[in-house]
Amino acid sequence: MISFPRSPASAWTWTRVLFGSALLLEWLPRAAHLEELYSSESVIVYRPPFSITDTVIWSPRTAWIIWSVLTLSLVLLIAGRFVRLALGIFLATSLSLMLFETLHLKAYDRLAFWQTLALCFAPWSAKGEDAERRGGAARYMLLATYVALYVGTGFSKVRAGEGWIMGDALSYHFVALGVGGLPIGVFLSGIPWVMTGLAWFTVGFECLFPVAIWFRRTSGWILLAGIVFHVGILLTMSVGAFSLISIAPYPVLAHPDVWRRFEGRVEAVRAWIMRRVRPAAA
Amino acid sequence: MQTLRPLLVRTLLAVFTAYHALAFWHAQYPPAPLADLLGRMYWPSNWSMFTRYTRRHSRIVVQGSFDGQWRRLPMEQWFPMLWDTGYRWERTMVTRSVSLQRAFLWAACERSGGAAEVRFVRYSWPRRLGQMDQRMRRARHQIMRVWPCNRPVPPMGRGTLL
Repeated sequence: MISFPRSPASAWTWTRVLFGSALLLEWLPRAAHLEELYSSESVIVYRPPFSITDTVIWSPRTAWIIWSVLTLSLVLLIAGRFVRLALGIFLATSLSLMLFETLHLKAYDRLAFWQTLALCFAPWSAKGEDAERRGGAARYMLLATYVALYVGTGFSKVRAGEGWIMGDALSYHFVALGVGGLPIGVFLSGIPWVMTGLAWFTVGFECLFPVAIWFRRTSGWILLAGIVFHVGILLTMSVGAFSLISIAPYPVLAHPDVWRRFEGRVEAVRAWIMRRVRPAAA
Repeated sequence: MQTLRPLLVRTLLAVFTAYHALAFWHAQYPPAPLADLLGRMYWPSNWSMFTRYTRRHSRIVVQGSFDGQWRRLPMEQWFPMLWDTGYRWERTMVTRSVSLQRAFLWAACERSGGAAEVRFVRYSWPRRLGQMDQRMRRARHQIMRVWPCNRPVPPMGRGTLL
């Protein structure tokens, strides 16, 4: 039988809080255009096989009810109350809005769908050592999703050829209307050697992730590169909460030993700070 | 049940993995005869992000014809949601689909206050690296689709209002 190392309960807790917060940051601003996007006030489109508009059209009132329930489910998720139920409700409500609108359904919405599905299998009700004996399936589903995500986009870039080898593709994305136009990205787009380096880093990270993540020695390093990669995206491109949603499950993606070591170091830093602060307070 | 459960979980994981693996394979090497059908099936796990690029900006403007004069219609005010890659009617899936374009053109007809025809016009102009100012300069334009407002477009979604 195949078995997978289980993550400690604290890794799941961090993932739950980060994931819920990232989704809340993404879904709260959508309220400003709720009726325009998700109700009969919208330009209604139908795109089989995923559209639901041939079955049901939400009235503005229903759209608001669905959005409110969705928001509540995220608050419950962050608070750690009825977690599995909250995940199920989020899955149902987010799909019922996104599959109504369909045009603005982004890559990170699809990623959040797979993540939510995986988190439904996480050991939320287990405590202590029991939690460490469970959750293998959920962790594996997250790993499989991320391997597909990074190798899919990395390999596509390699096959696209020169644009990603020379860095041109990244430069032109950084100044694009909509996704680009952030000051750091625009500044960097004018420095060709920097853009070549960033493009190589991007493709290198995406293509190495599917291999490096499975080994204890390399999983920490590849996730560190992932954090640099996603923070870079956050600073240079306007792609909603993509970076935050992507980073959220990293505590669980890390090899359990790597996560425990990281937690130990954080605890040591916290203790050092407390030692420095306490005498001052006294 | 105790022996069945691990087997069930591992089967589910195998199906999950196979789906993602096939979606990856399809994105890289789409088989010609079934590309469209399989493309929709594997779309939830298609992760080709920012792979292709263009050296030009593109904006789609909706114009209405009033007494033979084309005037820009305020689509941005009627449907202001601007999300990452542009307005809803600027999404690639709209520019590639006649039926989706019709839905937006008809919405423009209904709000235009008496336009005889409406049309999509695509403007494109060069992107300038290293510069914050990306205003439209030396733009090319292309009329993408014209729709007469005396030809109603049936609603795309026929679902029950709830």
